[in-house]
Amino acid sequence: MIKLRRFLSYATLIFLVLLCLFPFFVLLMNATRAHAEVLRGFSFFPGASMVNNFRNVIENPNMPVIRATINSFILAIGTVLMVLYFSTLTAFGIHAYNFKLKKFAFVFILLIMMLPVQLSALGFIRLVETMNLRNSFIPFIIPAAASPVTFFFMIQYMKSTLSVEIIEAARIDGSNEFMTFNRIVLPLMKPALAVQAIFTFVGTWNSFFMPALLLDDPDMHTLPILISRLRGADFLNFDLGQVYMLIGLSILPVVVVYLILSKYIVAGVSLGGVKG
Amino acid sequence: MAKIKAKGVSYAKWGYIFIAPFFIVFSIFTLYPVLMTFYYSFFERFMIGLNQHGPYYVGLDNYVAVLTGADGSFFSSNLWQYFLNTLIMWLLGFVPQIAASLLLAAWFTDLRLNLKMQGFFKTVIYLPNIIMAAAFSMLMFQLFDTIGPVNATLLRMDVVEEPVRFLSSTMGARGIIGLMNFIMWFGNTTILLMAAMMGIDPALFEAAEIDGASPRDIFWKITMPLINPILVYVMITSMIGGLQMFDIPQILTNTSGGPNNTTMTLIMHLNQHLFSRNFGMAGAFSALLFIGMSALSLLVFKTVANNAASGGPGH
Amino acid sequence: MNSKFWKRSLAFMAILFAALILVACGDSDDTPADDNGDDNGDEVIDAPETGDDEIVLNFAHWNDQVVQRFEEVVVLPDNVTINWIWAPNDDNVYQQELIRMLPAGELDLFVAEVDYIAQFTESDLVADVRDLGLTDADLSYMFQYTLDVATGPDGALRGVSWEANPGLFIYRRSIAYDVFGTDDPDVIQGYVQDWATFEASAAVLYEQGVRMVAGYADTYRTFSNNVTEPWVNEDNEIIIDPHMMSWVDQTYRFIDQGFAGVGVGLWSGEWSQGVNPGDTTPVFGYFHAPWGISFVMRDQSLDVQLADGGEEEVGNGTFGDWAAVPGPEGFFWGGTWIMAYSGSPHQELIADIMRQMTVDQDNLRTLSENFGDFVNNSAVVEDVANDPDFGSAFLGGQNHIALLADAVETIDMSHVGAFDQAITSAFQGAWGDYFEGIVTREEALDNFFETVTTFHPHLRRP
Repeated sequence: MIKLRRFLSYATLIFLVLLCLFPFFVLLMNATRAHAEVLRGFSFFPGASMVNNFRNVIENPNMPVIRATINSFILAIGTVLMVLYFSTLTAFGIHAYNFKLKKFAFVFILLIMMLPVQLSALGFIRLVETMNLRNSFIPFIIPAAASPVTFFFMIQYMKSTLSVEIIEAARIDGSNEFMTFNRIVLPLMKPALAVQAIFTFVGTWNSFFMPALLLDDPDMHTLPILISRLRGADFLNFDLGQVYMLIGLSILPVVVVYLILSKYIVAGVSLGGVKG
Repeated sequence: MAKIKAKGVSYAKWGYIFIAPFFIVFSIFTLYPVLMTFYYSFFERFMIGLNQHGPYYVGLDNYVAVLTGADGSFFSSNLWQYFLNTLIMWLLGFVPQIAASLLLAAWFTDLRLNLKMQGFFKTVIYLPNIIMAAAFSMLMFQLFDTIGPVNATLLRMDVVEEPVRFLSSTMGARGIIGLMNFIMWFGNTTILLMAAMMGIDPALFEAAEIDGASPRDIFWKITMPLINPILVYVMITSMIGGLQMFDIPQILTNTSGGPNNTTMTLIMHLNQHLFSRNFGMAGAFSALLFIGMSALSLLVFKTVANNAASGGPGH
Repeated sequence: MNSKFWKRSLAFMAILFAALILVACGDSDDTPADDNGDDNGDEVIDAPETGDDEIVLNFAHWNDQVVQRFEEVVVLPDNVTINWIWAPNDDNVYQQELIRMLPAGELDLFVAEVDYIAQFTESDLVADVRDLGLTDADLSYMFQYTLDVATGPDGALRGVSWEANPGLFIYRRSIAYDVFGTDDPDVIQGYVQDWATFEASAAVLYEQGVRMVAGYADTYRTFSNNVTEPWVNEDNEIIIDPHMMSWVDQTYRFIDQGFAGVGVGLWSGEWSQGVNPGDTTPVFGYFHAPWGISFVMRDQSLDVQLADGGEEEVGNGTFGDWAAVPGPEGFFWGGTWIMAYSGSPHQELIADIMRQMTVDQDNLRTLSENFGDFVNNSAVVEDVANDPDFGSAFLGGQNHIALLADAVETIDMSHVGAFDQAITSAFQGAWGDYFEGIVTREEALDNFFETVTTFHPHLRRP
């Protein structure tokens, strides 16, 4: 009985693992093939055109993949820093101090947590255009200071780990509140910061809706925009080797980061879920 | 004691200072844009070639246009079709996702089953979640193309005689989108549900086993009721995510929402108006979605609040 | 243990992949570095002592066609570089970006297509080429329709083109030989001379397992160029010409009977595959303008791409196994006009580029020889048409320019409109669903109007 169940569960797991990995396996194999080979049908063995495909993608002036990768990094890292610092600061403000609007602020942030950004998109675009900040990362990085989801995660984490005594001890040592936050609280939040850094990074790296509407200068394109243009670039159908290579390049950085940090990420998911 | 309290009062301003950036940024970059979106919804303003038409104040005309269809009736509005598309595609991913996640989570947490290589399995099933939806869609488009690997394999194995045009059929296109949502999210849900299941007092399981309960009974009578709050949470967050569905169908169908608009989601349609810079219609459409989604987020808030009140599964 | 092992192996594979890419990167990382320099103001300081300022011209395009030709013939002063700005044509993205960039002054030069050029010929943001310095003598050899299309309602000429684009039916010689016993264009034209014979020949080809055309939109331009009314009337109503419904009916029959691939749209993978089908269903012919030969069909036909070291030679795929005939109806497809931002400070330079691309007869002769273009210069065309040594290697040595020299005079573009691009793609998309049996005729019509009016809110369903 238990053996049968064990067999069944392994079989299901292996099926799901194959389902998850198969698309990426095809991607990997086809990125190593020349266009005509790709058209001849799929094979489970790699071709010899990987370097060729890579060079063609890199040298394709219409697909500035290196530029887009750099842009994606700038955007993601800028956003991560803003999100982490200000979400933690806000959480600290509500967690550690007593003030009249404390409860209101908390409830308000919870309420706006679930509202999708797309609904303010029109007004946001107009605002950015008024500020003359189209094709700039500023309208993505600055608003990241108000991130309800990360705030919520941080305040939940503080509830379980950050005691008021630590803050008061710092006060007695003569630290002002701001220094206390920067030098004592932030280091104590490291595990939570790491988890949120990863999620924010991945989320920003993959974000598409607003960047596609605001970053239309090719020099400012991020990778998801490049991919969407690839789908619309009819003539690139003539080189599927390049198409697969470009898709591969766009997901490679997060896959590497993920595989290195997967233990923390998987732990972070359950942490966030249970806390939420 | 009195001294500390006095100190506490004097520190209150720091609370305001620390939360100020959040609220300032929120007001400028979210609140103001939301209000402006509502404002634009009362105007006719779009582009004719290089020239701007309007803005002309038109009252509620844009709302009427969104809410009525070609024959002028409320029920023929495309809004319902897009809402239905979104809902169906969400369900196509969500139903198998919940089923698979419950099953996997139960297996992973079953001590008697004692599955090996859990770390590997969890790593792999969560992997698709971090993949760029844009790249994943482009990849799936190539895989399921008439000349793509899936068809090549089916043809070679003589399963079909001629290539299947997956993206030309409503079922195929929606199915692929559902499949992608499933692949991207079942790992995430599994991990969430596992955490909830591990929070259940093991003594309950032991007692049930001593009483001779079958694994099935234990699952339905003990596990399910106890993880109910987190299940509700998963469902509502997933639904809100589902209503925002955009990247996958947008790139998979190359913005067309085809075939016959059956994969056009609400946000894809909003994007059409934004892209062609028709601000009045985009505003009215956003405002209506805003009202609908606010209702949903209130629901979430209630659930989260209840969860917190009952201690939550993790505590 | 095991799980760690797996994770590490996966990570290792990913890192290996990354490392390989970095190694390959070493060969070619100078390109992006140049890119960065373009926008960089400091670059001026590092520039060689020419005495001139560095000038960067921003040039928008939707595909590499113009870039290839530009790089082939245009010689720029040392201090001038071009910053190419690309956007995809699909879903009107390119058109939308022009509409954004032009008023913002982000462009010096751009190219526009016939389907939407009218939006730009009526705008003061686009320079009159005569103001730039092109003279009537410069324009005298250009085909009249290329001037008419680029002339605004105020009489200003706002674009010039290096190409004319009369259409051809380009068929596979080997298939013609197998099925009709000859590959001689004069004879084959008899099999495709009007739509009735075209359809009869399609049936013959079908018996031999060959598709007449690749997909549902292949014959679209031959119909849409022979309409009697423009798409949009004076009241901004969208009018469907009866000839367009003939296209719908004929295409429906073609798909139904297997003469054309079901669900195969222009530019799709299966459409491309038909040019070099391997073991898959062969396609007899494609409708193309001359630009389609060098820009589309050549790359599609090759087994080994040029970028991968392939040669343009018989034996590499289907290269050289093609020939051209006028086909059942005269038509044009595309056309690329070079236009300039009227606010650009580099007017002389722009005029010089326009002259080099569209006026200089030696350059145009080069384009004809190297790309097979039907150039926009009656003197060069006559010269090439009568040159016994001229022939397209892709077309097995045939002189397709001679074939088209008469047709170009009959091109009638009086029915083109400003919003044809969105209308065309919506029309093909909506009826594409119909051909596949997904929607009824009424639904197809509804979807067509819905798509067009969403994108162009001022247009109306009559």
